[in-house]
Amino acid sequence: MVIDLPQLKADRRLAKRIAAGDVGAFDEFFKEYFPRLFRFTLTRTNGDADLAEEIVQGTMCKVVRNMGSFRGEASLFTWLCQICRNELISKYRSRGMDNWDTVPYEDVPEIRAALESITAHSQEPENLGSSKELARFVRVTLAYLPTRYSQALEMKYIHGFSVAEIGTELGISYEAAESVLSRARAAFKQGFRSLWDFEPSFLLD
Amino acid sequence: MNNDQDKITDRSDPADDARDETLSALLRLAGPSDEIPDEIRDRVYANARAELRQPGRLSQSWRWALPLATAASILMVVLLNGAGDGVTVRPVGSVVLAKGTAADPGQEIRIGDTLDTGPNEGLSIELSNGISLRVDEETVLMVESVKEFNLIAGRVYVDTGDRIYPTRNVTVRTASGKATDIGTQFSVQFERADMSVAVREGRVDLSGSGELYTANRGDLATLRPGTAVLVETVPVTGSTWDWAVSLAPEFELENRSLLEFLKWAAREAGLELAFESNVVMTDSMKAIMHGSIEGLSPLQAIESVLATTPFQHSIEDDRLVISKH
Repeated sequence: MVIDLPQLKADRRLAKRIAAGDVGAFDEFFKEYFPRLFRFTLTRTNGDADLAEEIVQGTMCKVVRNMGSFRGEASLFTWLCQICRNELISKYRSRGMDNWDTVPYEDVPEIRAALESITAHSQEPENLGSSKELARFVRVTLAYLPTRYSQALEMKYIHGFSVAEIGTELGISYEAAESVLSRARAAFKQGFRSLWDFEPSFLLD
Repeated sequence: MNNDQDKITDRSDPADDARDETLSALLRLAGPSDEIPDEIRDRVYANARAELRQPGRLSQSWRWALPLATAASILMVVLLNGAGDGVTVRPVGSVVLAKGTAADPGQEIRIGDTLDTGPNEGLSIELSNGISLRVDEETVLMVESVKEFNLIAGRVYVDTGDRIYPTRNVTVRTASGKATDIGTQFSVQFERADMSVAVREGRVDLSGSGELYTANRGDLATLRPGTAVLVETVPVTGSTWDWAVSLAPEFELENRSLLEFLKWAAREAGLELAFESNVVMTDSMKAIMHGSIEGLSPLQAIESVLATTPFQHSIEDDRLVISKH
């Protein structure tokens, strides 16, 4: 487990404030984590937004109610995801679908094949294929990133924004936008490695 | 969108550009994030917001829990004290020295507390069993019992004293493994996924990822998930330990014997104490000291104190040798 100490400390402070009933802290928490948690969940409900809402609502309520028990051994988002997975398992079991989420993604043959394809054709983007599974794989990784990082990556690489435009959108200076992008790229690589235990060559530093 | 004016300037390697293109293709494959409908966000917000505790109000789940918790506290005190003379669980130690604002000197430490230091901060804790625990800057340490600590990140130093008591072993756990001392001075650092244990004196048992290793004086053993224990050497004196020495509880010199002082100073400096003869050792026991060594490092204190006595010292191979003029 890799520890991001400043993040961990910020999470503990935020959790304490929420547990004490601080509305401002709750708003801060909701703004940062709701979109990430919703997207994280959506990738696990096959795009079923109603089901994702139900799961996220259950998770958020449970988390806020029990915020005082957050010990800060892992990040707040990791804790949220763990509770969310439990909600998902419980929901799927109630629908008679056991073990839906117990197979590590990297063990799913389609994903393994897609990843191997990336490795084999790392410098040929057109060879990335159009695997829906792989796209889901990337979306899950993005969902793990802080909102600002995933926004910056999307703006840069999907929408083609310039650094200056990203700065304007995020309300930060040009230099700060450069720094956010640089850290976002590194976080994406780190997140990819941590989540999937796999290191395609194009992600190597 | 203008993408040409500002190619990211911190990279010039063509390989980086190729990786950038691949990353771009990968993200395009995933496509833009789905917009989350406002009504979903608003509904979830309203419901989660309703769960926020009102200051001064117990949440529903705690209403029934309070009598149970109180009963448990009373039971714990009965177990700890023999006769229930209160409902307060006794502290397991207290802060004897604090750098920065992480805690106040004298502050009591209880099971379940988290010691959390920022940059340039540090804490020295004296536990109720006599063990000295020092917390370096940028550290998060959870107190699980008087003998067990969970190091989330950062570095701690443990000095269990110069005598071995079976009840005074300390275990420091991290996500990568745990270290249990056998009467010793040692530090544990947890950074990223590496757990490094430096042994200054005595022995420390390490375990993690199925690996077991006993580290001895001068060993720096590193546990990294999925790899064998890496063992290097670490000096037992010198700057490696400066941070821990700077957090050493102050030694009150007034009316203490020279022998007591020398034992303290040698231990803090990582030196083994030796005397030229039994007569010199006996004389050091009889010599009573006056004054203060406040603000001095252990080595500076040795120089300063011995200068006022007929004793002298030399340092040979990590040994502090005391003799008389």
